[in-house]
Amino acid sequence: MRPQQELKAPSMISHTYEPEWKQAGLSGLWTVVTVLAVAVMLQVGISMKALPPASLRQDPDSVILGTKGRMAREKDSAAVVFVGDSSCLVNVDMATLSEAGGVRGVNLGLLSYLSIDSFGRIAQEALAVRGPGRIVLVVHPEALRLAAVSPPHEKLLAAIFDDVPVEIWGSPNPVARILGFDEFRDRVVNRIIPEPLRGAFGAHYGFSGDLEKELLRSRGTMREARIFDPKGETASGEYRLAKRIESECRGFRGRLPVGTRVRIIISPVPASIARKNHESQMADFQARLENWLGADLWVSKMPSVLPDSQFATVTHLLPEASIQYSQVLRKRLIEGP
Amino acid sequence: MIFSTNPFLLFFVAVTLLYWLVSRRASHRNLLLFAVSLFFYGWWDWRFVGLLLVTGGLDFYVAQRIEDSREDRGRRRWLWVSLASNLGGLGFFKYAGFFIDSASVLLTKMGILWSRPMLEIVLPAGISFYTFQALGYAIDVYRRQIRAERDPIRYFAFLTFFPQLVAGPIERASFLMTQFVEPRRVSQALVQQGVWLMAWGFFMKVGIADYLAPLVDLAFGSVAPWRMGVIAGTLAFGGQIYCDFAGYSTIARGVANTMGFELSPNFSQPYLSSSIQEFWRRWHQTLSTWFRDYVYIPMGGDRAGDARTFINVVATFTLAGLWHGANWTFVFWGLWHGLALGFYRLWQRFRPAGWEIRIPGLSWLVTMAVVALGWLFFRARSLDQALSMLRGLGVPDGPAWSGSLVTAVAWGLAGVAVVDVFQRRCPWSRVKDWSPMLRGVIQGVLVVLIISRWGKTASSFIYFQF
Repeated sequence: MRPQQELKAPSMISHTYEPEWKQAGLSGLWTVVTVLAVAVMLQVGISMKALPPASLRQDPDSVILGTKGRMAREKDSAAVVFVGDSSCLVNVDMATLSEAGGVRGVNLGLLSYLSIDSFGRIAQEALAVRGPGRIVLVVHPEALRLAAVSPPHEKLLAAIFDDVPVEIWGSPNPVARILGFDEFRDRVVNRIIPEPLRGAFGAHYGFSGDLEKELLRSRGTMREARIFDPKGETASGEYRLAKRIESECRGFRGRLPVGTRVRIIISPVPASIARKNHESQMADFQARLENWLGADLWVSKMPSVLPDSQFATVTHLLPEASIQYSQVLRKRLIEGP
Repeated sequence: MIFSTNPFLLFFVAVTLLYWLVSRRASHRNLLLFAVSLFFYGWWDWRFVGLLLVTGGLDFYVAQRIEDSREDRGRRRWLWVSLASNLGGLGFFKYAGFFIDSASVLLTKMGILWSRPMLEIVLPAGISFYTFQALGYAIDVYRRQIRAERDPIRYFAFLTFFPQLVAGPIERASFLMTQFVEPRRVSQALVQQGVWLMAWGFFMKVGIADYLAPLVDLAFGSVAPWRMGVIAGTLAFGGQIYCDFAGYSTIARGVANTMGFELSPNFSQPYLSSSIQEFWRRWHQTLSTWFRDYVYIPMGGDRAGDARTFINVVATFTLAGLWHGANWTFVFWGLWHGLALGFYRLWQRFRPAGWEIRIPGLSWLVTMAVVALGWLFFRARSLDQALSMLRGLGVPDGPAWSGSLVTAVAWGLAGVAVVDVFQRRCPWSRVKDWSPMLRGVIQGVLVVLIISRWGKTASSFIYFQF
């Protein structure tokens, strides 16, 4: 056993100091110099365009926008171009549409928090390489009632098409942004190291690069991995058209070359949240949107309500349900109005 | 308050300035440290501060009663009061739900219908750490290894010292309490060591552990485990938990250094170990020595024959596993390590002459395989999931992103290797003789990497849950 240690304070002073702080100061100074030197080198590299542009493989949103931007500009044999919000992205299955000599198309569906005008922009880019053709705009009632869109997403899509350096959402860390370390991560690190996706996206697609590959392989269709839980959803079936929609629709039409035929589809909602007058209300929306868009043709009898069991979220169908939905859509597209 | 967040950085700067600017009287500084430590702890939930003060206060009182008791019987009685209050509190907050759940499952299997009481007990942050520190103090007073502290401020400054309050290192009063008593010799070397340690600690946490965390979540979140996913996920978790916990301990030591305190090392490059015994000399050292001194040796240690030693080792490690959390996965993890260490000791003792592993790296590989299998159970949500993942080792095909997972994990593990090899080859005892420029540049590179990833993924420290 060790002897007892006496804990009585020998003096009331808590510290004695060694006054030589020169070494510590020099070490700290070199730390700061190194950080600033790296920041300056990065800024020089960016201004001299020595660094590659930012990778669009950061998160599901940037992957979707980046990949769809590329797909829009790649000439293919698509006869129909599908644009719209995430209900287009998920619910319209390109493989099903093209089955048995069906409709050969490309799915350029984006995200709900982009404007209809942005959907028009991607359609414009797609038709610029493919020539005037058929455009199907797919929107969900949830997106139609959104009062505002997301400026960072709009800005990112515009940057992709304007061929200017894209700026990813920005870091929550202002120091990294000011020093340019964000740029290093976006332009260099994310090109080398795979970036894992979070939540349901991660469980299904794994990494951003793998989501990109999957989007390219499926000609733009994304699969949902979640299961609809009406209790967990806060959505209400009280739908309306936001004020912005009319001008955005007119902007959409204005972007398309003469001779382009536009169709519009309003995506279905789960039965548990649909109101009694949902069908008639959607028919009314349909008529107004067609008017604003100058739609010259309509795909009739697409369902506006489907059983909850077919949904992953309020706006997204489960993979099997999206195939069934796309089979109906193929039939309508072939049959016409 | 979590080290790798902006509030802590502000807190640290403010506390350091206050600490150096207020009076140099020890009593004033101890009072300041006590106050800021309570603020630090109360950042999570102010209600837990009360619990900390009550349980800590009881040990303060009990230790004095132990010391003042003239008869052994009285001393022992007061020690039992400390054991009952500390372990009772820990048991209630940490294990009540676990034992009730386990009893419920057992009774249901026996066909006995039992209405399980619904308890929603919130686990106070760091309760396992400060409880063990307080318990160790009371036992040391009982063993007459230290005197009971009579100054409540000094005692609470020791017990609640914020750098190590919620996740250790678990300090002994004989080492840390004395630092609140004696004048501390604050040298520029100590402050420089603190800055150096903080830079490495933050890099390990923010740069590596937080990078590996989502990869581990992906692999362990899979409903259909597959071979490469299980291997990559388990190795990634080994890297994550090491850099997370060792990063925390290293930051804690660095923060303490900047205020003139020394804390015990908690990790010494454990993944460079060539035996399970060496691993446990390098992994969570303050917990290992705590269990050695307060559990293993009182049980008889290695003094009562090989069979009894084996049982003592296994029992101690199983308890250490349970200390980590109220889940059978932790119990199994402890049992696994206990068995591994027990058999290793028997092998060392009864190994025939000449039976030595002569293939370079093989003993390291075997050690890492044992450790990795333990991590699989440690990370799994349940024993069922762990077994499902083990079955996944037989499934060759995984999802399309399997290759990306392996690549990403390889980058993270390369980071772990760089940290360990660098720290092994360049301990502070060597680094302190380097030129300020070289040290500063290395610190600068680490700061760049830390800033680049700061706030990208906000994750708590794994050991906070323990």
